Amino acid sequence: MNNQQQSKILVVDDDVICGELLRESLHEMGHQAVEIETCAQDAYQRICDEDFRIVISDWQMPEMSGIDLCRKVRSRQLGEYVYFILLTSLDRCDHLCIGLDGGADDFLSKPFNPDELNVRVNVAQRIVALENRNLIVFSLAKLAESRDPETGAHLERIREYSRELAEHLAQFDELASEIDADFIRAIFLTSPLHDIGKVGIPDNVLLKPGRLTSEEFEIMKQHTTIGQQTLQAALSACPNAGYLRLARDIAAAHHEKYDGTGYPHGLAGDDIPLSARIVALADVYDALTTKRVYKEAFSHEVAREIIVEESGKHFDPRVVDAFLHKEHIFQQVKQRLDNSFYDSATVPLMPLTAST
Amino acid sequence: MTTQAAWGLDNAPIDCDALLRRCVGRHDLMERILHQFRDLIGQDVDLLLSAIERSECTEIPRLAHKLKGMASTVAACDLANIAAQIREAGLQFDHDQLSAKADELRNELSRLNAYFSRGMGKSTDE
Repeated sequence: MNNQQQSKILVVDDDVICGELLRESLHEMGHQAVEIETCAQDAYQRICDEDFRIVISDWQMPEMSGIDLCRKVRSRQLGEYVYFILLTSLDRCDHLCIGLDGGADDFLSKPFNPDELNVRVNVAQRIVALENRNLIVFSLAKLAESRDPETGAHLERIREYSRELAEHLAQFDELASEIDADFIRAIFLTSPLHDIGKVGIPDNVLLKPGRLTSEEFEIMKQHTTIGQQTLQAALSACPNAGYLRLARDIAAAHHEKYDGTGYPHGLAGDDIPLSARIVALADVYDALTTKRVYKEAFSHEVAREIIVEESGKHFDPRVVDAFLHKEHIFQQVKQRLDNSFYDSATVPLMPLTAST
Repeated sequence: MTTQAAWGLDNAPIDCDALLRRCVGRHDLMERILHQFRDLIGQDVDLLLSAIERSECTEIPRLAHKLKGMASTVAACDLANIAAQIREAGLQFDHDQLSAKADELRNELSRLNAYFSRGMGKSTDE
């Protein structure tokens, strides 16, 4: 198996000898990205913070058992799928049922047989490779963007800006329960879908090179509800995919304003999903600092002034505060992605649209 | 000839052939694992014996299970069996059995210490 295609493995066992033997055996079999954690609580934190996709955990451990760790991993709303192998000498049928009911994918007898370990981990690698949601989601966003290629690497910048804002906001006590590592990864993943509803806007409106009339603007505003409905349909088909809920909220509410004057529903304050409040600022900053058919690009300083002026009106003041703490990174991201886009762009740009 | 037989230890406390298979044939890994086992086993056995002496009903099965797991991993089969029996006796609060098995545990630890003090478990490749 190609190492570049392999997912990271976390071995969780309070028995340091077994942990080391597992890691070394896996290395010997070609699974290079293997780490050990002896405490299940610490393991859970690492699973949240890092990108382990396969966990091999002992069942019986002090403080938190392997099955409790598995249940906790499964209770995450936004995380990627983690393939969970329980390592146990508890081989009675009722134990297997408890393990599977708790969300385990597979079992490995203890003491393990290296050949069995190898084939079971290869199965795990195959299964997690099936979940290429990052690629699929971004491809979908790019497809939507192809009808309305705003400016260069717009989607790439939006997701970087959104992640930066979310990372800063995670430091606020009142937001810490909502913004964890999964949220930050999920907003990076789903923020490019914010305008997916534009696929449902007619060409004569979407691609109009000048300012929209009020009637046209009403049509354009529908991209929020079209996006919401599209992603809600996907969510209904796959209710456990929490990231689709985040994507739906962003698509629906990224044009809402903090003071209640936005669209489509005129939501205000914390009634606007936090993810949408974050993407709203990222989207506006990007619109201000890039050239459009009807305007030149504003400098960072001008964009900053406009955003600060809109604090408490268009934007959540806490998100504006996060922007001010991260503005140097915004500038770096813009410069980096602008350069990389113009270096590599091969797709011809279609006519640009008026601001929505 | 097997690794075990090469050492003239058909009745050794550790089945080095089984352990070597688990170490995917790597003698260096087997030696490292046995070093770790030697460093940890005394403390773990002491903890379990203390729990038996104090009749700590919840600690005995937990510590015995942990010892059984570690012993099984390094193919210390007799030690693993004794630990498994202590776990069962602990779950049933069978104090007579626990006392008898505690003696067996001490003897097995002595056997392991003697095994390690003779330099066993070293790679035959050296």
